[in-house]
Amino acid sequence: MAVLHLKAKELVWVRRQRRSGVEVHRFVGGATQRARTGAPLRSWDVLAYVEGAVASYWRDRFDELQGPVQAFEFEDPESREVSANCHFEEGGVAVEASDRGPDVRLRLRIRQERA
Amino acid sequence: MRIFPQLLTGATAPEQVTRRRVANSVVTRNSSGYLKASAGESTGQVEWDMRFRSLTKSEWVALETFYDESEGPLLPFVFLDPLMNLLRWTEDLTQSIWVVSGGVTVTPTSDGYLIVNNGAGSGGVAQQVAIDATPVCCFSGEFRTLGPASQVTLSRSAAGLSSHGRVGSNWEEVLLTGSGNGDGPETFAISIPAGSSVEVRGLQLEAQPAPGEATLSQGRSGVFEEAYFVDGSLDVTVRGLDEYDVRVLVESAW
Repeated sequence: MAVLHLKAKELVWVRRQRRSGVEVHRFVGGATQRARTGAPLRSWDVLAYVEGAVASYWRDRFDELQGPVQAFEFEDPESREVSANCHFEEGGVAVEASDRGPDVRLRLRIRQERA
Repeated sequence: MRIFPQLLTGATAPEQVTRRRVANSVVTRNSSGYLKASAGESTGQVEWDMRFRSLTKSEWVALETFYDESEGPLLPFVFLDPLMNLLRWTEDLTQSIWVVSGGVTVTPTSDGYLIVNNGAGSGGVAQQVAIDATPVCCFSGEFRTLGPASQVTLSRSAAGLSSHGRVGSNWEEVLLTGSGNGDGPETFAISIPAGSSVEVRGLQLEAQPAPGEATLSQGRSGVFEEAYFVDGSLDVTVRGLDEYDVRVLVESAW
């Protein structure tokens, strides 16, 4: 599948999370234990103004990929970095009307998972 | 040792920073309702909550890269407390942490300490600080003389930096700002010419380019040599070009 990327007219915000793949366990008495659990992963929460056709494209991709079921590659709309093995969150494509004529507000929530 | 990155301004932390001390105590309550509280085995924790707003892209990339290199909360790094003096015992220059040159005497006065140099060459007092990287630091203090005007030199050993000030009978600030070269622990020194005497107060070393309000260090330095990121994830909100908001929590044993 082609890399999915967002053609936004304006990014309102991109919230990106970098998950380190490290777990910290804290014990009574102040001791801590730190352990790697896997490779670092990212997730995104994006709000953007887009054309109606772009919103339709993302809704179609969400349906085609069966929501959170199938993986895809995603290009970060801000850094342009491509990440593999991404999945939509449950209800991860939301479209709402805006006060900008034909443009709509699109919210994407995407999460990278371990392969 | 890796050190927490500074912002483009040279500051370590944003304006909005909170430091929280967590004491390690053990409290037990018996069946009669008596409470017994005692200190725990460790000295407790200190945690910094820093809310960075409107970071530039390069500042954000430096922070994210540092987080990745640290593998999140896995690997330790050096953190220079933005709210503490990096020097120890600035309120007591007679403590052994201060190295006094030969022929130099240091005696307390009502306002600070009088440094008298009876040696053959310039001399004064110096302190080694465990900074083995290259942060911008500001070394400062207030000086005056009880007699004729005198020169005061502040220096930073590893970087070969020095700053000179000529002080008279009124308190005057002398400061030295610059980066180190990462060659190991650095010595920050005050020296005055042979035969001169200078009174000093408010010595301060901070990981920023300009002096802040003087804080007493009471034997503790703001250099935390084994700090960790608290969270297993780092969240950033990008609001536009060069507008990155991120909250970072760092912790260390106290």
